[in-house]
Amino acid sequence: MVVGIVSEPGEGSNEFVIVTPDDTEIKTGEFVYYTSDVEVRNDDGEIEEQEKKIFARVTGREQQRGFPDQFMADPGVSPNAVARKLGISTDGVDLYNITATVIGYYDEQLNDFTNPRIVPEPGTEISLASDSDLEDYLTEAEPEEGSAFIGDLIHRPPERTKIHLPIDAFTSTHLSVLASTGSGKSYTASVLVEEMMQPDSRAAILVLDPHGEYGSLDDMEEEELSDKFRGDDGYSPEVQIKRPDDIQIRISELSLGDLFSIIDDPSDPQEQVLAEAWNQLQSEEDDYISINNIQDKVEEVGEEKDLESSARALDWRIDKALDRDLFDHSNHLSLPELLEPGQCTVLQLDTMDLRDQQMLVSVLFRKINQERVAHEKDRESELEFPVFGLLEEGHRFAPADGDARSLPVLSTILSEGRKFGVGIGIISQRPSKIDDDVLSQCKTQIIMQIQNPLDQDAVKKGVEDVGEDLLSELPGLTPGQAIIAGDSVNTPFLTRIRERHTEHEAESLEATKRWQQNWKEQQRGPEGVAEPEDEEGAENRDQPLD
Amino acid sequence: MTLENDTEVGSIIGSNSHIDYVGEIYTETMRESPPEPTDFEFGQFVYVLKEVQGQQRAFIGIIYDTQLVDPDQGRSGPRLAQPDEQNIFQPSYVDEKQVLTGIALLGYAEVEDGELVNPEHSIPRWTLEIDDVVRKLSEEDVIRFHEVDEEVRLEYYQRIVDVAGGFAEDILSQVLTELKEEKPGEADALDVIQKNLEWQTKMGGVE
Ligand SMILES: Nc1ncnc2c1ncn2[C@@H]1O[C@H](COP(=O)(O)OP(=O)(O)O)[C@@H](O)[C@H]1O
Ligand SMILES: [Mg+2]
Repeated sequence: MVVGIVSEPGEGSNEFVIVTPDDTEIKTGEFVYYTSDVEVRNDDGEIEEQEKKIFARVTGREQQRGFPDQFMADPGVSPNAVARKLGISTDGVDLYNITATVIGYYDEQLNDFTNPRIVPEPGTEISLASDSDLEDYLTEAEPEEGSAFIGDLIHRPPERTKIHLPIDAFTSTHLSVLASTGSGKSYTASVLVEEMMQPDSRAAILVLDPHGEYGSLDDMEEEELSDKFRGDDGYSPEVQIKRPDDIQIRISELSLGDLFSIIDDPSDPQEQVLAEAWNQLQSEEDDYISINNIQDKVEEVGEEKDLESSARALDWRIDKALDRDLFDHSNHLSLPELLEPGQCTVLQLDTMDLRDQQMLVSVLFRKINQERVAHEKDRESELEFPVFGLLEEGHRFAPADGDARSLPVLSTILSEGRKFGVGIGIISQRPSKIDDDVLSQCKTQIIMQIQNPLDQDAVKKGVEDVGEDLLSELPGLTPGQAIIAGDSVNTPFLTRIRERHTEHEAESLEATKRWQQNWKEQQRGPEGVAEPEDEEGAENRDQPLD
Repeated sequence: MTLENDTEVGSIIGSNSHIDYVGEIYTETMRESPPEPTDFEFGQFVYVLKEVQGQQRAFIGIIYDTQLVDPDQGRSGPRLAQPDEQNIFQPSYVDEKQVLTGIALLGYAEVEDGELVNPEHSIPRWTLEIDDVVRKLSEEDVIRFHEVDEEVRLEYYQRIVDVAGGFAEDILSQVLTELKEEKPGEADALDVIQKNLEWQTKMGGVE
């Protein structure tokens, strides 16, 4: 269907202007195409001319002709009515200038778009890209073959298009989900988890869930959803939810850096003593180190080095740092227990102190990375398969100001993870507060509504191939709408994320519901207006129930 | 009341274009009861009855300008010497003071049983002719002429602006005021047009 005619080249070298009488079809972010002969290499390696569809993305829309503002002087009178009175035809009055940027033709050999570097001649007919072309060309992912069905295209009618992301791509080169609170980050992340847990993927996923909102992922185990998640071969995803009480760090797994970071303000001699003691303990190759072990070793080293006072000063500091539920001399989160193909483990950290959360991420991901490196280097390893870690509140774990134990290990994984099969998904509502390198290493980006200008700037900087035109849509997106860009897609586009199969546990409590509920509970309490039938049991009220 | 009873105000004596005609107002020497000044005032709707293709039609226009002509002032050379000769050399020259009017043609309507029907505000394909009689359009018919497809319209709006130039605002404003009074239901939309008109002409002068 022809929707417009090229009128002139645009400002940029890839841009052109289309005139169209009808604005209903063509919005910013929509895809159009024209046909043109381009020189391509054929299967025999010879250059030949072929007619190709050259795709372009609409980047802007400006009314070129329409009713003058004065016709709208009275809100009670439609400009159409005014125009009719003046004998101006009210159909086809509006003319729009649409700017579009050439993306290119789809090169079957490269499986990507190639830009022919020519803009269409004035007079060229422009058509709307078909749904099926977009499904085929926007991403390289076949349904049911390790792909994540994430939703449809915003500008097309609901469910007319099905957009799939290649799971291999975004897990190997990392992912970010960036948006203001309430825009649908957790929702989208959960959709991805659902897709990754389906039989055609069976991922090993670890979710760091500081708000305890991913618990409902265990719906995936439910019988009702078996058509979505069960495989013909008996596969069924497993979901493990771990609460802070279940989560412990084994002391011997801490690094010296970890230790320093939790010891209260140590002096140089104290650090010297602790470092020596720790190195000795670790070289003794004992998997189990207790607080006493450290304190004894510190005392020993203090004597050796003539730094007894420093050793004594460390004593209580070590107690204070480590004598907590989080640390244990033997218990820990064992990787084989946490990570397994076909299993999604959710670590709910909602009652855990931020420093402890950072420590946990640091310890866990260092171990994960070590095991994966060992595996790739053919050494014995607890992780024989790639893993994917999803971090909510990513800016807390990889902050721009560097103030987090977890930053170094995340930086390492993000810059090298591709080699070793550790994929990270960073979720954050404050992109401007995420470490620049970490953000730019997330090669697939799902960006949803963002209001804050600082965060918009951070996204602009961290995300290479998204044009200004798409970024300018960010403030206006509604929950569930997203721009997807980066290495997992052939060109950025606007999507509507599909609905979850599992239930969504919204983070914010509904205050009015809570108030009502509490009020009613109060009424049932001792001072409340009790119903007559309750009165009879009143004397038993203080008796324990059995 | 039928169209035929309307006052004859003058006749066509020329044109500047297909939609811009010159009429001469009847004087005492031409008609027993010549039109009153109120019959050919500025902004008065007028019409010419003509039969075209077997159909009686009224070609409707509006007086947008007047010019007074004094033949004595226009004559060159000694005036009193050879007045008769002058008449010989300029046979069409009438030795009489004239009131000429500019008439912008706005549209036409069919005439059935002396009534205007199916008003059209487009430019008529047919032209008026010299000596066609120009009549005053009654107020009632002015309203009727503006009722197109059951609503008040001024589809000729832009044509008045083009033909009447600096006088257009006053004429249109006069028309709009009258239509607003007669058709209160449509006053709001007409008001938008009137305000727009004022704004454009007044601001056009400033800018
Ligand atoms: N794809 C979607 N489809 C339908 N509703 C959605 C979608 N994404 C988000 N929402 C709605 O928006 C709300 C907020 O989403 P959520 O993921 O909790 O926001 P965030 O994590 O960004 O703060 C959800 O409770 C849900 O109602
Ligand atoms: Mg959230």
